[in-house]
Amino acid sequence: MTDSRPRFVELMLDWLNGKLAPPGVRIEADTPLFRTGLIDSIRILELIAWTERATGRLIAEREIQMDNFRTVARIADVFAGSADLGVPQSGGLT
Amino acid sequence: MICAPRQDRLYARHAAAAELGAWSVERDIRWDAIDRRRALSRPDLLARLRDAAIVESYHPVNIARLLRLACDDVDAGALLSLELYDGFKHFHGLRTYLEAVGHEPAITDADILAARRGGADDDGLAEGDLIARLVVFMLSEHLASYFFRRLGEQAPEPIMAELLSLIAADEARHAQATSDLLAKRIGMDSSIVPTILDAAARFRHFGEAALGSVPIALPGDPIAIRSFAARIEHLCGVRLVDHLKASL
Repeated sequence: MTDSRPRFVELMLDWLNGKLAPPGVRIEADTPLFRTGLIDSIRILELIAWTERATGRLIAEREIQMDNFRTVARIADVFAGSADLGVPQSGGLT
Repeated sequence: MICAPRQDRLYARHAAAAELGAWSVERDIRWDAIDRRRALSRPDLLARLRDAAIVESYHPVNIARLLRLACDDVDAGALLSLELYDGFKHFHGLRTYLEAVGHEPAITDADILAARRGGADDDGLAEGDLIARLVVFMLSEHLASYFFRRLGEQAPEPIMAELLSLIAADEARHAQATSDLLAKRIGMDSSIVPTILDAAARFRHFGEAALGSVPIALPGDPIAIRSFAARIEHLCGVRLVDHLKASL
């Protein structure tokens, strides 16, 4: 779903900036999420939850690697690239 | 007639496990074999040990509160007492190690008391919320086990590695003991499961109340994170990620 990827990125950024970004910090698609301590690494579980809900598929244990979640762009590449996204064309998550 | 302790009691099982894993700061650490030069080659690692020692010194605040809240539970009183003693031993061992290698700044009693005062009033949890506090304690000890294990793997000095390995094993036992206390409470009243899931979802390490932030040994340790989630799933029968999804 090549046209869903930009929407996935956009919605994830909205969610991240509203929920997990520290005050005064704007997260972009290529912002390192964990390497600089921007987000506590245990919060990866929230990213997994959001991604599973958006893509409609479970993320396997072996896929829970920081490298797969290092940026929003990377998350989209790994999990939103071939999935039939549940991301709606407008509004929040389905 | 010799009466052996009844192993069907939760506290007896954990007391036996604690006894099997017991070690002494005075007798079991080869203090005179420390290679000071090698230890000092990793000041970043020593700084994290210093923070960890202060977190360990915070147990008289945190576990004392848990003991008070769980005073209706004989098992909890015993298990938390064992953990309080181990926590002291960890603090004592780490502080002794840092002093032996001459790490600066040395931990002062004023540092310890400042951490205790700082965290005594506001840790983001309701004062009387025993279940949430047990969850936070269990998960903190779980991550502490991985912290000490990973730091031990990076240790440039053998005695440091030995000390951290002993502490890591204790922390794993503490996490399991607290999990067993929670499982016992679920067995008595399964309506506490959502409280456990919520506490796990909002988790902040109890040491943050003392230090502001807790040290990390391996950022994004995938095994620590997976097992963190698995521990909750095992206890509650619900994937933590599914619970998080419901609250998005």
